[in-house]
Amino acid sequence: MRQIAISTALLYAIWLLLSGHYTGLLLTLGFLSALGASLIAARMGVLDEEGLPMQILVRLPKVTLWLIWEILKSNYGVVKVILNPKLAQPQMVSVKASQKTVAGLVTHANFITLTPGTVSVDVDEDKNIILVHGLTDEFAAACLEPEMDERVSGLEGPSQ
Amino acid sequence: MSIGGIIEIIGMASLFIGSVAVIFGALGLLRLGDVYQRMHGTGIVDTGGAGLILFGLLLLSPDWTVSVRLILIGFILVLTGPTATHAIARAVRAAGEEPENVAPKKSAKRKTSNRRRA
Repeated sequence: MRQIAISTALLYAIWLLLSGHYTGLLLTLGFLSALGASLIAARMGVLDEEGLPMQILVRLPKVTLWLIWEILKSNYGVVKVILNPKLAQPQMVSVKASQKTVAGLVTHANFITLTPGTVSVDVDEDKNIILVHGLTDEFAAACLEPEMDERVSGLEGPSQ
Repeated sequence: MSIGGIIEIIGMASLFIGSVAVIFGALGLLRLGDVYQRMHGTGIVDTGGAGLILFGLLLLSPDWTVSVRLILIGFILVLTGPTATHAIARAVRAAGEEPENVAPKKSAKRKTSNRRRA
């Protein structure tokens, strides 16, 4: 029930932002379609903690600035390698993840891929290990550092 | 100079740097070694390129409805880009292609063979 309400509110907010027509009839129709879509999603069983990980979405702004800075830094690093491909030291590393939820683990893997120079190739849900392909020693070492892991675990919230 | 003028200049600079980043990403797709390394090149297009271009457009956008759409586009790109990259990497590995893991000199040699295959 709570998930349906949150989903409807989110969808309706997006509808309000995108529509630009604010008359009574259209506002009602917009709300009804948001509610309908949420009900269908609930019936499909995708409105669980994985489909709508509110605890992560709410805390996402906390890491955004840090993530943008990391992305810009590694963009520069990858450009250097592109200009001189001999600098590449490709390697695979296993990164231990401390996330407790699947949504958190996926967020961690997505952040790793989002940062240029590292791509998560495989995710082991049972052992909480992310297999990462790094472009150089530097990128691979940066992934093994616990900073990103800690920040993503912080997104899951202290209560868990 | 007015604040609007400064914002406009920052926006245009951001658009320019983003376009350059996209060019570098395309260059990386052509120049780097095996398929795993090339994926890192496209990562620049996904993040630095698209991100800076969207940021520039955001600063230059005429009214808030356009800004909202740009922010939503950025959010969706951030969600889908890495997922697609991960899917490709996983599929490549499942197909049995192991990444080359060699010293820089040898990788230059392998590169030519990879380029021929591509």
